[in-house]
Amino acid sequence: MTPRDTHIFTPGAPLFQRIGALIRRERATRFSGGAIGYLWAYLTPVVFIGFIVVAFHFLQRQPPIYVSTELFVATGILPYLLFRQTLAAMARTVISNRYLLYFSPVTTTDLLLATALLELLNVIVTVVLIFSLIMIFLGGNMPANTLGVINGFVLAWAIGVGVGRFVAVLGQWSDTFARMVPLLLRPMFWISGIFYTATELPNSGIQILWYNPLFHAIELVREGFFLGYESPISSAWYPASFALVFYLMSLVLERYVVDTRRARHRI
Amino acid sequence: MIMLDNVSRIQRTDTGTLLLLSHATQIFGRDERVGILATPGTGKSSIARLLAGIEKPDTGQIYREGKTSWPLGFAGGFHPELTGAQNITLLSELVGHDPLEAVAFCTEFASLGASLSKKIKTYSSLERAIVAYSFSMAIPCDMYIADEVVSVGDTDMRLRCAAILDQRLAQAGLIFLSKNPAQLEKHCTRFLVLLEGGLVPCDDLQTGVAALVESHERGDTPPHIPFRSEAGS
Repeated sequence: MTPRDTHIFTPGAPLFQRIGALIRRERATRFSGGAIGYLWAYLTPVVFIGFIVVAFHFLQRQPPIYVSTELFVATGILPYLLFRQTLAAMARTVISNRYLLYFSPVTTTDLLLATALLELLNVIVTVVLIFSLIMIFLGGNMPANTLGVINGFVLAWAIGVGVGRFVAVLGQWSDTFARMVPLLLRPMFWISGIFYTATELPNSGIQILWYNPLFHAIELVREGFFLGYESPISSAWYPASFALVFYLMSLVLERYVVDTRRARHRI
Repeated sequence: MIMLDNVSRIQRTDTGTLLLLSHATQIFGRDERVGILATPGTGKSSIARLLAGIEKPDTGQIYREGKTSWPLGFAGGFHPELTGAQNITLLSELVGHDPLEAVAFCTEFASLGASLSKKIKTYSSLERAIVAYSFSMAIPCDMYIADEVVSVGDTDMRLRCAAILDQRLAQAGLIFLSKNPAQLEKHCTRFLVLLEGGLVPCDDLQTGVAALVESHERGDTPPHIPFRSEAGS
């Protein structure tokens, strides 16, 4: 019989209320202390896009699709940020919020779920904000296929959640791994088609980068956004399976790390 | 009610594994105040976390009926950048209690008044301890777990802590883990000694202390324990 803790009757807050409280707690504290507070969450991507657009102008690069540079860069960088921020936030929350586990019925799953939802929420706000700004001030067509765009974003988020959960669990155990994660992810900025498309790549490049799940998510966003654009790297199944495999691996690993108490941080 | 059925808790250290709790079977009732005497470094806090449902055992089952508290006075859930009142509100929502009621209770009990609207990071350690203690009293539980702390503050505050705890214990049970026999004597009616990983019942704490001292002399417990039954509060 596996060891366990059985509640015969547990009064406590229902899941949605716990998630709501955790999200509000995170929103109230993440950027506390500064003058503009939570605006940072939306401002960072805007500045990010701005820098890359400036770089495009200096390098005299035209987007490979006939749209404004701003819009092209936004369709690349926003799914990337959704992936990256979800992953980082999930790895962070299990460590920085671990003392909340003292308050039954809060579980690690609550912490991870609240974090993943908050990151999704942030990017939804940012996406609406940025695309509206671009449409209003620079013009451009509405997405040709809105569902396709949403599909791409959801996949980018799913990769962030799946890999993020894996990183969160393994990072609790291995300090070396936790420190390696930012290094391992650094190339993702360059190999996910943020400033170029798969159609511009040579065949050998397509064959290698096809294995990058985030590339698919970004190209799916573009296929949805830009009428007539088709990419050789745009499978929905591959990134979805990739996310699922990491998610499932994290569940197995969690049993090992938690049950044998190998976490580096004391609670 | 909390029931331990063949529960073990192992601690891995750099030098090997320690058996903090070895196949313990025990029932803690809602109408009981149980004191567990243990020497420092033998796993008091780990067992408190086990009883509070924060950690799972390595073997065996723990069954619990009703709401179990976190270790009394635990302040680790407070975010330093939030005010006392904000922290109490959010934590109340997490555990499923009316936030307004909890804030009102803490305001009255801690008598800190305006300082509940200050950020936790500006609190003195005493203020923080008082708010944390009053928050653990603000949430009604069926079983209270205490890890060394049953009261906080100066003499007057400690009396008020004891009074409110008594009031709560009219409808709830207490498990109090401490190294201090005098404190256990004051708050509990049934006693156990954590002796080499076992929860051994003892009629009075003199016997318990003697057993621990004897075990210590045999070299079975860590040698750094200044153990005196007349230890002050």
